[in-house]
This record gives sequence, C-alpha cells and structure tokens, in this order.
Amino acid sequence: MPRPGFIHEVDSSSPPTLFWHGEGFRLERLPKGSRVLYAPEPLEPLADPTAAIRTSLEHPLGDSKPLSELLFADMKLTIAFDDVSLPLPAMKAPDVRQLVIESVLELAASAGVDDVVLIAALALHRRMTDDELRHALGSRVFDSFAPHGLLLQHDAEDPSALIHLGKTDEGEDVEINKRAAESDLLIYVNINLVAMDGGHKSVATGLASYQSIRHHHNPNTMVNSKSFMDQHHSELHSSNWRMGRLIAKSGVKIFQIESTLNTNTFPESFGFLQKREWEWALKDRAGYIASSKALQKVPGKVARSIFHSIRAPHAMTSVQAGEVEAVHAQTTQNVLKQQNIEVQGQSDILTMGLPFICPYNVNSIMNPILVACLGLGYFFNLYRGKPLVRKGGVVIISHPTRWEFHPVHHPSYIDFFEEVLADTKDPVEIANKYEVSYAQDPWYRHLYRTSYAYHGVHPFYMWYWCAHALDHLSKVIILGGDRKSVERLGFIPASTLTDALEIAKHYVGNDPTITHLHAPPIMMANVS
Amino acid sequence: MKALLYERNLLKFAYSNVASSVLGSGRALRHGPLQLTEIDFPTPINSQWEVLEVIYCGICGSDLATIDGKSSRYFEELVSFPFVPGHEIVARRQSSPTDRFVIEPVLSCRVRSIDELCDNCKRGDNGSCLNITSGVIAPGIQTGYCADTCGGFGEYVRAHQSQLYRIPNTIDDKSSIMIEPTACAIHAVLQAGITRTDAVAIIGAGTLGLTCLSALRNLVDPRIIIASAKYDTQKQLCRKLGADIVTAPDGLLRAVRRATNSSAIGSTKDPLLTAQHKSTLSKTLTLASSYATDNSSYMANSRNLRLPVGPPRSLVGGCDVVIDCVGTEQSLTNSLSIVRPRGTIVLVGMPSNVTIDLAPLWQREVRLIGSYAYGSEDRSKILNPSFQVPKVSNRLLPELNSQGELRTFDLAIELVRRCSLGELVSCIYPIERYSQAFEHCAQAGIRGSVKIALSPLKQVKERGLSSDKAVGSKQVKERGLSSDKAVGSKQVKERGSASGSAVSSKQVKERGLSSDKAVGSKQVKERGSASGSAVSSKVSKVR
Repeated sequence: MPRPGFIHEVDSSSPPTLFWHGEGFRLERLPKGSRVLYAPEPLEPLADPTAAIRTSLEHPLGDSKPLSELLFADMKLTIAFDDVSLPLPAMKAPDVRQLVIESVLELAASAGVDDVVLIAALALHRRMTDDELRHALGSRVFDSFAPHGLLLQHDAEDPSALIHLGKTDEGEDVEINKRAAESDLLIYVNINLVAMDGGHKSVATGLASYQSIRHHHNPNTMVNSKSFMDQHHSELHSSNWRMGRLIAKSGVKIFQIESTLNTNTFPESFGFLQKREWEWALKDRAGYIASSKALQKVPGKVARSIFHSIRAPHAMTSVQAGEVEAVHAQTTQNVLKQQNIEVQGQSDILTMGLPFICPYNVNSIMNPILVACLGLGYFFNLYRGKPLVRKGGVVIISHPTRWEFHPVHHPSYIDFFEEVLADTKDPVEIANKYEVSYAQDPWYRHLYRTSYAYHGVHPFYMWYWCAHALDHLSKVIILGGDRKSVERLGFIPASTLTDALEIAKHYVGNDPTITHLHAPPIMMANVS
Repeated sequence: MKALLYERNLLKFAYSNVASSVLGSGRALRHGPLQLTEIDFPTPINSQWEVLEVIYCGICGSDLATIDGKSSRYFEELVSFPFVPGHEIVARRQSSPTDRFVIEPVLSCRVRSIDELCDNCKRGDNGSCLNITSGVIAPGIQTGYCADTCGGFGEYVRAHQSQLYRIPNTIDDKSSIMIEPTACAIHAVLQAGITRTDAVAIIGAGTLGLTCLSALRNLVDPRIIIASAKYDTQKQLCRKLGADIVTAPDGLLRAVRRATNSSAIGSTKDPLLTAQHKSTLSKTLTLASSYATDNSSYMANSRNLRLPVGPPRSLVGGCDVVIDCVGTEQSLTNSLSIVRPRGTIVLVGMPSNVTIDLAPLWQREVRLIGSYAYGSEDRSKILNPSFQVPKVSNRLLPELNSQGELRTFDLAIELVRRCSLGELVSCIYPIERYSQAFEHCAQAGIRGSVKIALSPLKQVKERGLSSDKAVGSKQVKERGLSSDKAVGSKQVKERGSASGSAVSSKQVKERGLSSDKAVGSKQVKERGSASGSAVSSKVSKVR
C-alpha cells in the first residue's frame, strides 16, 4: 500500500535534506522546525494498460458514444497528441501515447477509416525531432505515418493550416488547426502529469495560433490564476474552457482520451531521489555519493546528457475517454489521488530545489528564464487553496542558473534575456512594450516553423508564468546561482542556504517559518 | 625644451612590436623608439608660422599603435624622423596665454607653402591633400608625424596659421582636447551619407566610437543607433550620448537583427546542436529522397527540416550603415556580418594589416569607405534641424574659408560645447609620467576611462591636484580609491549588504572574493586608478 504524502518537521535528529540543484544535488540542513513536504508514494499502476485503454474507448464518459460507433469508412480522422513537453522525464517505452494511439488505430482500421492524420499538438513549442516522435508514438505508428506525410506537427504560424472559428463572449479569438477542425472526428490523446494539463486546454491551446493563445497567456490571466493548477480558480482555464465550448459549438467533434501517471519518476539507479532521507538504505547513500561526486567531476554538458537520457518508469494509473469536460473532471480526481498532500497553513519562506528539466528544455538547456518559470510558475503554483508561502514571503530556489541558452531551441530567449529583462522585469510593461515585436519577428517565425525553435513569444509566456508569484512574493533568492544571471532576472543570489535565509529574514522577520517542497516527484499541496 | 621624441631605429621598432605583444599595449616603452628628451627650442619656419606653448595633448589610438610598433608600414614614407608625436593639441601663445588654439594637424598645401593648391585643398579637403610629402617642411601627414613641426607631446609646437582655430571662452582647456577627435568623428559620420531613416551600428565605444555616436545623434539623428560597447562605463556613456540600443560586442549581431527585422544565416557547426538533431537531419534527408517519387507532401514537409540552425553568424539584411571605430580583423568581419546588402561600412578606427574574407562584401555589394581626418563638410548632410550650424568660423584666418565652406573643426567645437564632450577626458598626466599615461590609455576601457592626455606644462602637477584632472601616480591611486568603483574592505561590506546578497561580514568577504566585483588590495588600486577616470554625468544627451 503506497504511503500518502508526508510532512516532516525538521528536528535535531533529522538528516540533511536533499535539494535538487540543476544537474546535481545539494544536501542542506534546514533550521529546526522547518517543514519538508514529501510527495505521496507511487500508486499501483493499472495491471493491463492496453485493456484499460480499450475499455475506456468503449465506455466513454459524458454524452459521448463509444469510439467504435464514431468511426466509419470514408471519414476524416485526426489524432492529436501531447508533444515532447510531457511526461517529464520522458517515460520508458512504451509511451502512453503509443499505447492509446495504437488502440485507436486498431479500431479505425476495423471501421475501414483510411484518411487518418496524426498531429503533434505543439502550440508554440518547438517541433519534435523524428527520434522524439518515434519514442512517443512507437516505431510501428511512426513508420506507418511519417514517411507518407501523415504525421504532422501543428504549425501555429501557417495561415493556410488554421481556421478562425469565431470569438468567445469575452471577445477571445478562437483559431485552431484547420485539419483538426474540419475532421469528422478529432481524437485528442493527452498525458496528465499535473492538474493544469488536459481538458479544453488540450485543443484550445495545443492546436491554436498565437492570435488565440495570447488571450489567456498574458500577465493579467496569470496573476488571476490562483493557481493555474487549480482549474476552478484559474483564469487561464476559464479562458480555455470558453474557447473549448465555442469549438464544440462550432461543430468540431472531439473525443478526448486522458491518462494519468504515478509518481514513479526516477529509475532504480536514482532511487534515492524518491525516498525520504532518513529512509535511505546503504544502497541509496552509495547511489547519492557516487552520482553526486561523478556529476561534480564531469563537464556540465556530459551531466546534462546523462540526466536527459533518463527514462522515467512512470506507469499509467488511469485512463478515461469521451466528452472533454466529463473526462477531465475524472482525470483531475485521479491526478489529485496521486499527488495531493494536505498542508496546514502557509509559511514565510518556501524553499525548493529545481531539477535539470522542465517542460520546455527536454533534450535541451535549462536557461535562466526557464529556471524562473519552473520555480515561480510551476512549483510555486503546485497548490490549491492558498500558496505554500504567505503574501510578502520569500521563495528560495536552488539552481546553478547559468547564463546559458540553447541557440537552436531558444533563440528568442537569448534576446529576451539580453534586451527585455535588461530593461524591465515587470510582466505588464514587458507585454506592452515588447511582446508583439517578438511574436511577429519574421526570423523567429521562420525558426519556429522550419527549425526546432520555440516561438518568438515563448519566453514572454515563461515570464508571465511567474507573474502570480512575482506579485505575491517580496523577494526571490537563488541559491548557488550565477550572480549575473540571477541579477538579470531581478532576483538575489546567495552562495549558501545560511546566506539565503539571512537575506530572507530581512523581508519576513527574524523567526521565519520555512517549508521545503521536496520535488520532484510532483505533489499538489492543498493548503488550508 | 622637453619633448617625447620618436626616432627611426629598426631594432627599437622590432623590440616595441614584440614587447607590446608580450607585455601588453602601452607597456613596452622603456627600450622603444620613444624617449623623453631635451630638444632644441623650435623657431617659426616663416612668417606664417607660430610657435605655441602646448597646454594639453590627447593620446590617440594611432599614437599608441605607433609606440607599440603596430602601425602599418604604409605610413613609413609618409612621416619624417625623428618626430614628436601628438596631434590632439590644445595650445596657447606664450606672449598672450588667453589666445588659446586647437590645431588642425593635417599638413596640407598651405602649410607647406605650396602656392598652387592641389584640387582637394582647393575644395577645403585638406585631409586628402596631394602634396603631403612636398613643400617647405619634411614629409608627414600631420603635425605629430613630421620632423619639422614638433608635436603635442613636447612643450612647444610649430603651427601654420592656417591650422589654428581659436577656442571660444565657452570651452575650457581640458574640453578642447576633444575637439580634434570629435572632428574625425563628424567627418566620418557626414561622409557616410546617412539618412534619418537609417539604422546605424557603431562598433567600438572608445573615444572615436563615443564621439561618432554623439556626432551621429546630433548632426544626423537617424532612426536607430545601435552601439556595441565592451565595458560598463562605455555602455553608460553610449546611452547618455543617445544610442537607442547598447549591446555587448557578442550581442551585436542579435541586436541588429532584432532592430532591423532581419533574418540570419545560422551555423550548422554549433557544438550545442544535439546529436539527436543531427541524426534527425540525416534520416530526414534519406527518407526524403526515398519517398521523393511517390509522396510530394512528405517532400514539402522535409524541406522544412533542412535547417537545424545554430547561432546566427551573419544577417541576411542588417544595418544601412556600420561605423567601425576599431579597425581590426574582428571588427571588420563583424561589420560585414551586420551590414545590409548595398549598405555602407565606414572604417574610422585606424586599421593595420588584416586578413578578412571579402566574399560577403562582394556578394552583398557593400560599400567600404575609409574615413581619415577632416576638412570641410557638406551642409546638406547635416539633417538634424535642431543642430545649430555655427555661422562664424573660429579659424584664425577665416578668410581661408573660401565660398563659405563649413570646416569640420568648427562643427567639432560646437559639438564639444553642446554635448559637454570634455567630460570624456578621464585623466591628464604630466609628460614625465608618459609611460603610465600610455599604459592607462591602452587599458582605458577596462579601467573605466575614455580619453587620456598628457601635459608638458611645468605647473601642471599643481594645477592637476587643485582643479584639472592632471595627476601624479600617487594622486591617481588616491583618486581611484575615492571613486565609486574602488572599494576597501569596509566598502566591500557595505556594498555586499546593500545589495542584499551578503549577510554577515564573513560571508560578505567570502562572497566578495568569489564574485567578480570583489577586489583585493592590488585590484583595488588598479581599478581605482582606472575609475578615477570616470566620466561625469554631465555628458549630455542632446537630440
């Protein structure tokens, strides 16, 4: 029986706490009385995922008919799927998307459907490489579709491949992938790693254009999403839901398939990362020492490639299919069943160690903007109710935060960091002054469409992602970060945790309460 | 009189060349061809000449190159030895010290007493004089490179009256040092044919770069000016002088690309390009060819996959004009990578032997023009209506301005006044400390300085301590320590805690030492003396 999440109060007998630190770790002694939040242990996976998928397809939720009844010969069928940003790290083969899509294709083949196209729902993310596509879909699917031009990647900047479906009551443009919208059936294959994913966001964002996405990816929406992991208190989701309903009203028929994974995030060799420190066995200690020493000795590039080659032993805990909202309600419950942890009260300081990866640097470099986004966008928002840290509190993030960018994946990030953040850190001012010029920059457009670059506007979204935290906190301190990068972000560098806590006291008082988010594995704090 | 004399001695040239490469620029003076010595007091060559007392003389990059033995051999026949260097001269009549002058150092037909002026001198384009090796004086392109004229690095200098411009009362001696380099900058900017809709990049932010920037903003005021600067002080000055975008040299290409909405040509040799991308590329091309006959849509898709673009290495479009104030292989290559097809590169910084790939110049039909010295300027090229073109010349012999020609020096005097460019003068050394001055000049950027000058005046030491910036070594250190960049341990602590990044004295010290801002005592001195320089906020941005 897997144990639920756990809150440990640090006392004199507590061992040091493991902090992720990019492609490495730190062992830190938190002050007595600090709370350390540990994620729930991985739930038991489904015994037979393929059978569970088939069952979900035949017993859909909401008002949807079984998939077999929705398929017919001569129909136009589009299968969209989540891109490389999910799951994290990439999961061991077979990927959930492969299992689901193979089951769907078997049904389609039985129904005599010939016109099938697969689309990676990139939104404004970079294109996936063939290797990444092959890993996500499996060789059988990849080799059946890619060589025939039937495996596409959504292009949010191709006017001929987009269709404007109208505007919501709030005046939001809804413009999505034309092939998907004009199909007799659009099947969306989702992986729900965090509660933010899935639902109407899958199509309304994943297959949308910049003209559409800009309505909910902006500072105002982000500040009013508290948190965007909590759909019912998230303006980001409200906007996506309005769009999703308009899409449905426009006649686009969507069959949503969502799956959830357990928190089994790291392979055996990194097993100590999912354990509570006082439960480390000799093998875990040896694993920690060996890996941390080795990582210190190898060049950063090598350490990065070691980590990015990790294949997570994630396993499927649920799969549900059918009408979007009914499916997503069930999915969210299943996500929370795995990730929920009940927390009493906020603290003055929230500490966190950031790992080597976030959704936007798979097989890539975690640049300083992504550090900010992962810490203040994702980790800070892993709450329902209230943030883990009080208004005016301080977040301490452990990460090297090197001034380093992947020139192929993140070209506009470099300019954003050097031009925009050198001018201002204010998300609203940034949006007003710079967003359009980056979004419409023809070179960024070209790179997004033809190379492997994130869209020109993407670094803006990463910064907006931080808007709620920036509005809520008095200061952000980066522990062990490159001083120049950290200062460019507008944060405070500190070389030791003691330094960081001393600096934080200046803002929150001399006897602060401290909570440490021991993630990943991911958890979702329900703060009362 | 006392002067720095540069003699012809091949052994010493060779020593300078090698030693400056090993020890660093400005550090190879001891056994080089330049020596402080006593020479005969100069007398007027004829009635049109005067002997003036040198107040100050700025050290130009070309002086430094000469002393380092790095000048192009092209100049060998255009100078006469031995000569007293120094051409950024502020001088006065000994008999009437209130009669202050700057010298237009070009040694043209009139100066050489050649009655029949060459075609260029007739037009007032002295800088392009065709008689620079003829006439009553020895060869030499400028005062400061001619055996007969002396130069600014001596107590007295010979000057032909046609070379003299009166310094208005509104400009002090120190600020006047900037008039000659500003004239160079104005000439460069105006001859590039820049329009108000142009995007212009300036490479280099030393004296020439900053004065070019000021000239560009005030005389032309183009749509956008992008300045590349290496050091923080330079960046601050670029902003003050009117640059729209200021970037580090390695960010220039990206900044120009953004500002001009250009596309770029990327490198496929990027080491960060992952193996996965590379394998994807090759597989895609293989697949594309194998399916080429039966599936055009896949080909269409695969065409898009041909571009795993690394860091951009040159632009497809770019700036209309690039003003290169550095003149090195690297700066010229950078200029070629950011100028648009059929754009213009103005080479202002004095180059030497360089090896560059001119294929982009050829393929993009780029105009590469040199810009040397000054003369008269075309009024129609001054496009900024807010710039008041001086109506009266400051030339000692204004009647020489035939047909109302507009002298570059007159424009320079006005620009120095208007923008308080005298604040760019960072430090004035007494001539006895010339070796420190040249070393400082070579390190001006990193030490937060811009223009370094020498003064042969006997009383300069005393004057320097009280009002002007002339200082001895001790004072340099002291001034450095009192400036905002140099800090002792107390200041380190204060700065640490002020920034919120350091918390206890121990940690502050530790962090201080590990950070690049922290300085040990040696560095404090070095940085201190550098920052003594520092330019005041009075440098004005006038649009």
